[in-house]
Amino acid sequence: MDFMRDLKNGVLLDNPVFMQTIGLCPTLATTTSLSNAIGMGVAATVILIASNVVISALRKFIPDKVRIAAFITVIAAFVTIVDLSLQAFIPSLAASLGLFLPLIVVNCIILGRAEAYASKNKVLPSAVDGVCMGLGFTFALVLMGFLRELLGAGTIAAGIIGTNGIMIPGLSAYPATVMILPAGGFLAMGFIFAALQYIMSKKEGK
Amino acid sequence: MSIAFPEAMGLGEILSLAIAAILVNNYILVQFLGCCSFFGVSKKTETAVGMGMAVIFVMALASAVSWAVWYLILLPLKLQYMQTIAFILVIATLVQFVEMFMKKSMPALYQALGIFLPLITTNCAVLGAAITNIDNGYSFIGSVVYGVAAGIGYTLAIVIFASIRERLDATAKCPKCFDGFPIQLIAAALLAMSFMGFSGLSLPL
Amino acid sequence: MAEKKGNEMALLCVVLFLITLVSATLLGFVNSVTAPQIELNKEKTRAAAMSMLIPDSEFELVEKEVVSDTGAPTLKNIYRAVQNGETVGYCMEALPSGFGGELTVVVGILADGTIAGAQVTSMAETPGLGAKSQSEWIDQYAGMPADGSLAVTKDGGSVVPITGATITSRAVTLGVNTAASYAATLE
Repeated sequence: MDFMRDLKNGVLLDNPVFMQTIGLCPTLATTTSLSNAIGMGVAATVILIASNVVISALRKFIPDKVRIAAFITVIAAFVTIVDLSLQAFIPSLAASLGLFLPLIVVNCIILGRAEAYASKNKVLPSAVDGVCMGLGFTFALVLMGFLRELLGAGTIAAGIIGTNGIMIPGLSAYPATVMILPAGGFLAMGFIFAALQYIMSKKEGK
Repeated sequence: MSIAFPEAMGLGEILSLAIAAILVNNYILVQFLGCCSFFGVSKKTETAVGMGMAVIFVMALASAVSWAVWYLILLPLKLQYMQTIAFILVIATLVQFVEMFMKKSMPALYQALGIFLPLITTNCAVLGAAITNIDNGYSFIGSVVYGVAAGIGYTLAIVIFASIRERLDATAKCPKCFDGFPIQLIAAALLAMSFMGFSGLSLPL
Repeated sequence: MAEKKGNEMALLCVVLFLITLVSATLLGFVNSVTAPQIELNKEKTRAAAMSMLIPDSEFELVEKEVVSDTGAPTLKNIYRAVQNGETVGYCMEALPSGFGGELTVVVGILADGTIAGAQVTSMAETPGLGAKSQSEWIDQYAGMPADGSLAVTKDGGSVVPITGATITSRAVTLGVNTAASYAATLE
């Protein structure tokens, strides 16, 4: 088993957000700051790994006809566990992720991996798949969160490095607030996708 | 054992709730709920209208049923922590029932909306509406109205976006690296900005 | 054939039932562990906010919840602030609706009819705009009259709203007003 290759696939070549364009809602909604992005990414990754492992272990036990219902139940259980644990132990993160924490249950990435991978493969590869896809999702969130926070609030890693993070002189006094508003989410993602297409077309041209 | 229902809401309150859900807190453009299908089924205006109608229908039903499940089952039994799991199963079952019912008794409507129904289970807008109703303590009527209004807001956004996309695909010239998905996202950003204008609406909430 | 179908149906039901049963048991267990902690967190935030608003006093619970008539936000956890046996003011949580749903505003009202201050302890407002209600912005309420008459400058009052977040500012102001009006009835 080639872990590095899987990792590269999950994070870059087959990135769930950038290459498969799934899981867009949380990527747009929870990336107003780097700390939120990391929180969402880690929460989703933990749930993805756990649900992949359980669904893979139960794959022979679950009848085909009711598999989606079974998958959703398993995923919802893990989502609730993570939700309750965050509320209990990291309440500030739970508050800032808000509605999007329970909504991980309908994140297409998690159900998608359950259906496409975990229900057809053994436990260990499924866990690895969960790690790789989860990291890929986190990578996309972090990139968006970093850019939007930098432009929209003029800070880097606020809430991680001190309460205000690293303030960028000039930018933090007059930030482009639109970037942390909903419209900025679409805008940031549009430019990231454009940059990706540019890089890929350059690579093909060589 | 008595059950604490949310207090009844006045007509004015419900009306401003509806307008806020359609314009000010538009599900797609302001709250980012239902983005997957927003980009997925907005290729043609007709399919966008179909999806929108299906979402309005399911959201109204899901709001009503999940409200009943919460206040009649989960709350009296102190099972609040089962919210996510109960609601998603209710929605999944509901969609299945609606599909079976439509197939049998309304074949014409099923022809038009049928293919969208399975997609709705994993549409976060529906679960989002169900949870928001409970979080904000809306009354039963308020919840159903909120479900319908959020669905109308969804439809409004997706239909406008689909008609922009039809133009975009047919005539727009843009730098090559922006072709396809990137330019759609930029278009969505501009649409979201125009919806930001509604946030200035002062509603007597 | 019919029997086989029946068996299959039964199998489906049993499997789904088992999965749901295991999930529910697990959730019940997790909930029993986390629920006290979640409640404790809320109490801690509230206690911290209250002792910041009216320092050096003991707090006695007066009322758990006051559901008001139409329009006004609900009030929760109304406490009497006592110093050396004397009532110096009241603290309570107001729950007005902001831009992104309900806000929790802890309001302190002094016995002399002025506002001790307010703190937003939970909200889902837009980061960078409405979320500024958790910054120094809120300090301006301290010392204002607690007669329920406050309004933002746009509505002809003296509360300077957060730039670009009038809805949030109005919500906080409404919460402070509701709390003040209720405190006035408590004497």
